[in-house]
Amino acid sequence: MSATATTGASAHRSPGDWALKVAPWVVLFVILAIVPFQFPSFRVEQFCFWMTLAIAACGLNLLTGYNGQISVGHGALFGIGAYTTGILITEFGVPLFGATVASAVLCFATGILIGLPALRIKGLYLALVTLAVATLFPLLLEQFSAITGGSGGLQITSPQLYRGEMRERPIRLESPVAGLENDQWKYFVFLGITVVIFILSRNLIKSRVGRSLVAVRDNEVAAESSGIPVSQVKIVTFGLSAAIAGIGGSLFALDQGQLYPSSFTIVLSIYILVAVVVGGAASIIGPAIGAVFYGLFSDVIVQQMPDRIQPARAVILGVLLILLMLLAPGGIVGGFRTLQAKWSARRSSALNSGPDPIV
Amino acid sequence: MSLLEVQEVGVRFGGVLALESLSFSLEAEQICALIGPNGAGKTTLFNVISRIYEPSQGQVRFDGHDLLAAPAHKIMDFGVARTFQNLALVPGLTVLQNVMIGAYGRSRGGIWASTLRLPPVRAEERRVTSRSLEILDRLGLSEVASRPCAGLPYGTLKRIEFARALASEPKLLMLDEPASGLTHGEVDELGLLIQQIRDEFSLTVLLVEHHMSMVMAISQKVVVMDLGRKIAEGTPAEVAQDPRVIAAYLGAPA
Amino acid sequence: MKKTSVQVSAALLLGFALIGGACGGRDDSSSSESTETTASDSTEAAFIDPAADCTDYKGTQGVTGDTIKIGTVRPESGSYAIYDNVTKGLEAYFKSANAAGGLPAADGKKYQVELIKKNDEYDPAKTPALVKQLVEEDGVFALVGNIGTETNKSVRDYLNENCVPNIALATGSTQWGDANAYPWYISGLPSYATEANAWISYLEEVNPTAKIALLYQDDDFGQSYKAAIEKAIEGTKITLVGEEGFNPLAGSTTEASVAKLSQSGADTFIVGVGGTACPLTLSFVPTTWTPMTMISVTCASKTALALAGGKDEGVYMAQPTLDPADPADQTNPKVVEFATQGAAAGLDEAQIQGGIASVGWGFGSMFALGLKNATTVDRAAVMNALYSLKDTTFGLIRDEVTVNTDGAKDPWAIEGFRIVQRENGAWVEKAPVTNEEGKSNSFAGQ
Repeated sequence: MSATATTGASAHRSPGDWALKVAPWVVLFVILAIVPFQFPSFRVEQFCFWMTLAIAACGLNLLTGYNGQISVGHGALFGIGAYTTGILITEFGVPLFGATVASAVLCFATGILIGLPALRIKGLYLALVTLAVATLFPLLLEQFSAITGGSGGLQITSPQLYRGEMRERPIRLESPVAGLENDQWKYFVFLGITVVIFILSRNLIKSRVGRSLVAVRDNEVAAESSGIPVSQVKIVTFGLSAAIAGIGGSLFALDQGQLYPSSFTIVLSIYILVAVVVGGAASIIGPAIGAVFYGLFSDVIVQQMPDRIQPARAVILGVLLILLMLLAPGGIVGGFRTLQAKWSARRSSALNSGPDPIV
Repeated sequence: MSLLEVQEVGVRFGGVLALESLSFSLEAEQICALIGPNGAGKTTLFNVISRIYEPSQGQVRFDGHDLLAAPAHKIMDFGVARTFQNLALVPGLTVLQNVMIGAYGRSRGGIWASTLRLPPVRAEERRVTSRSLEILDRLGLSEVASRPCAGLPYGTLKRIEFARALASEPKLLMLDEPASGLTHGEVDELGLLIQQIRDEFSLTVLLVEHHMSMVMAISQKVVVMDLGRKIAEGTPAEVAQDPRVIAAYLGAPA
Repeated sequence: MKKTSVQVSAALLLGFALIGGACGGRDDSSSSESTETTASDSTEAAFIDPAADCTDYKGTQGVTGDTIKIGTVRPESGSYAIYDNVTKGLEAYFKSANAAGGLPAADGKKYQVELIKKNDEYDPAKTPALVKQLVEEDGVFALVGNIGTETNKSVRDYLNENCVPNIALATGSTQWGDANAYPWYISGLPSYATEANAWISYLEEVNPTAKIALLYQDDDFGQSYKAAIEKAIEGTKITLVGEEGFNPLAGSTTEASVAKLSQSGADTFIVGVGGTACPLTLSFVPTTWTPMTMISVTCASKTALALAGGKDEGVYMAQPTLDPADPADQTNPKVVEFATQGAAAGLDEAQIQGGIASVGWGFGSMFALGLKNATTVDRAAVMNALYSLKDTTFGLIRDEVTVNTDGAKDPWAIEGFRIVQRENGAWVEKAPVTNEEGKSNSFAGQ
């Protein structure tokens, strides 16, 4: 799709190959389009939640997957995006998606701040700093309960006419399309935003900037001597990654209409990281797959388990993760690629159609 | 005026003196070899010039610039590129993408323009891609262009580094043991290639190398180092007859 | 995907959305058993008129043949798991009713109840998805005995907009008094404000210059107490000399707060926290501080007080219900019925005496009363029945407590308390029941 297409090595693809490449996307789009009509509204809202998680994971993937900086604090950035959106809408009457943009900007700045220590520390030590951020965040929400609502939650409201009087009512995305119910409309709006964010991330990864992220991850000395300003790349990536997580959080706020600190504990940060790892770090679509995997697990599979076992879901998820990492260290996408490589190697060992490392 | 001037450079690691008051200069389009036994300080000097190590004293001037005043990632802007003794490739990228990394400083396209794939970014990407492919072609690497680096033979990886350095359109190319791991035939071929490339790209080449036959064959100038000091300097023929060099280095069977 | 990938994707998306829309509507199987009903309530001026207030009203969702599906959400795990006993009591009530042939309704039929339980861990962030699942996927008729103030609040707009009854909320937050805006909610507990008012009324009698130290849970539940106390002491000589908020989710204990309050010079200690934090608070009181201690009704059960390490001796509470552990109450027919039938439905002795399961039993009984009084088996009819109770009683409410409701004018079923003190593990009456019919909202300043 990038290098392979431009090298000329595979310029003469047969139409069959092209169809193979496009068909999965068409199937995916059709499924995505039909889904909201086949499930009750609370499921559709859960799908919206999964999308917000996918967006945050996409942001984290830029940072951890492509730039090699581990963050266990993206749940906090997600939360900052969510609360910024909630407060701007409820207190200041900012339009819904205007609040999303503001959240992204604020999270970018926050990401830069968190990223500053990343210049001096790496790996596990950086993970510890971000861990501290993730741990502190819900406590800060409690501490500043005057604006965040504390454990009582933040109801995201706007003045609306209800039972004959103007009342502060939960925000909602009203569907302007006759055939679509509100939740279905929300689903398509979210899906649109999610797809755009993934495409933009892909653009970035396939670009000169994207290569510089990977170079910094794999070999700082090589990057530096090739003229890549390593520090700047690291910090800006942190900011950008945070901004994307913030957009995810902002959409989460629009989806839920109410926010509680318990949604933004360290657990969320870990789940975002899980989505990246499960889907396949350093693959563009991986985080989305990981988010769906996590969503299916926590919102569908866990619900089917007996109530007594449900509190042990973290343990179950942990065991599943270990199994997955043993079977496919590169996550779902990585495992798929390995299979694909084996298959194509068997098909024609002579062809130099190795996998494109940064798809 | 010389293209590269290294003056009185000293590097100290804790109590160890890795380079001691080293001076030499390099004229444009020369091929100059740094030789000496292991631990002589050759790679240390490379690292000083490419700003990986901070010298405790001395000056490095290149093409009118004070290199020591610039950060490492700016060196390339002045036209200094290098390869690494132990390879510093980006395993997560394809061969072509690795070469394109070399062109990072010679291309444009910021974060927002790249994200939106604006037309100038796409034009630039095409330009860099075709230029990098040309270089790969010139170095006989076309076949592996779309492969990931991982799993390729050592000699090929050395060449990829060479190609990446060339992609940055350097004036000075610093090659750290480019012939290591090559067979005799390949070493001769490499020597020829370096000379051709120097001519085609109007390069100045600074070389660390143990293969004496190649050094003697292609260098105009040889700087001999031992224990962090320069012990001799001159044409290959002059150096080969220098008693200090013979004692320190050539005396031992190479 | 090249330069136009964004546009192409957008177009594809829109196209598929249209295809999807055309290919068939939402699968409504979960509610297929329900028929859309128009307002079938013939009584004039019923409190809720679904025809006027509800779009897409599904009045009989969850009613199939002679079974009726009920949902409930409670913390089965986490630090509030103690309240799972409420749900055990609720379940026992329905089991026992099912065994006796079912709950009688106005249509002459007896309905078997199918109770579907969900575990939200007392976390309002988890409640909405579970409640929506109960309503949309499990297709319940109503929710009964949902536990927690914040958790119930998190689905208040949703349930009221969709006209789904939430009956006998296991919370006495003053906000449930806003029946005008949220008529599909009715609490199964007295208002916390009324309870706080009962404390202050008693204090006025026995200690008119009381100096109160207040420990309150820093959420709606505890703040309800705080606001009501502040309002009730207006114009009296009683003063609030110290107050500490406690955040139940912060993972800390009340120990530091209790130590601070013990230095405030108060002679009265009001413990407005719930869960296990409440009895633990009693255990933190230093021996040097011997205030008159009032505890929240939510922690007055034998089960909870067993955690107080003996420090429950001498505490006061305002008590609206019979206590199955109190020998004086054990001969009351309501307690006898609960003890025998509850045991038959699987409650053990500790649960029967514990004083928590009996609350859940009462919630089941409240729903049964609504179903029995309703003109038809219909969501609005049941709510209207519960909002027009006349001199009745249910569950283990004390016989002296009058039960009356009247729409938004009097949305609280239980408004009477007696004051009791803990002596040798039992409650001793210190002041008889005072009924404050129709005043609950005013105590909360509503």
